[in-house]
Amino acid sequence: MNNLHFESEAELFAYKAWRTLSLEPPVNLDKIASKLNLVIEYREFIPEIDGFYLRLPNCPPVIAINASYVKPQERRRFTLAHEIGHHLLARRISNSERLFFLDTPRNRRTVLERACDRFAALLLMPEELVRRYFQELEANSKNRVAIMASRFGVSTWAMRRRIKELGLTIQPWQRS
Amino acid sequence: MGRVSFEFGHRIKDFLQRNKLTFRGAALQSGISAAYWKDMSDGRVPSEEVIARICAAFPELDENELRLAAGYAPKPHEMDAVKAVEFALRGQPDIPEEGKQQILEFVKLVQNRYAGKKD
Repeated sequence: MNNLHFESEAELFAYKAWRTLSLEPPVNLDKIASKLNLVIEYREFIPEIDGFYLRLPNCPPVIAINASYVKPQERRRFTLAHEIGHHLLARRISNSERLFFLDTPRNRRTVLERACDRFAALLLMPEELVRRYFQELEANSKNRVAIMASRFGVSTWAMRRRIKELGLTIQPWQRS
Repeated sequence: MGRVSFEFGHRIKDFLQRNKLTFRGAALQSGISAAYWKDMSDGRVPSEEVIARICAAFPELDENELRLAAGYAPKPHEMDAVKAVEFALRGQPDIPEEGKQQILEFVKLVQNRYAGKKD
């Protein structure tokens, strides 16, 4: 399975989710998880852990999210979307196989991890809406990123990255 | 003698002592020569096939434990879930021991919660 395959699958899944589940921003990730029969567990882990995906034989797939106060809500949402990506991209692997994907702030470099990040970004911030909000908020360019981030339920960092990825021009990062 | 593993030799020696088995006795049950059992107890690393054969002859031996001790990758299908995750976490040097323990506790919890329940 090559890079391109993972990337295109990630895009397809995000597109399908918006098409079939009548989603609205901020995306209700619990609704998606429930449709996929995923069990979500929020627990406190050390800060080096964002979350992980676990699939054991005869158990429903489980996503564990670090609910520690050091992980903001937006960060948890992105991690959850990323883990849902793991579930979808691994769907062809037999249910009798054990699967374990651990996500830490440092390990997002592999092809699969990048594809899951891509899925998360597209699911949480679909292109059409990003472009629409971006245009709508043109008059408020100073607060545009923060407002959009709030609408999508993501961090301003993730929002900035997505906007840049779509080739839209924003003001350089400024610390408030 | 080929590759040597102190850990592997220790496990073989320990197994034979616990079960009061001589090299000859082990050879009779496994079809692997007494001389070879002696070499293994001194740390000689056998082939993967030999490990599979001795584990088939002595079911109380954990094939993956022996494979790991001998420097072979474990067989994931035959590994307990907690051990499999523990093994996967060995490749995560950035995660402190405390975090690894938290994850393993969670895996045990999930395993116990659904034990006996079939999809």
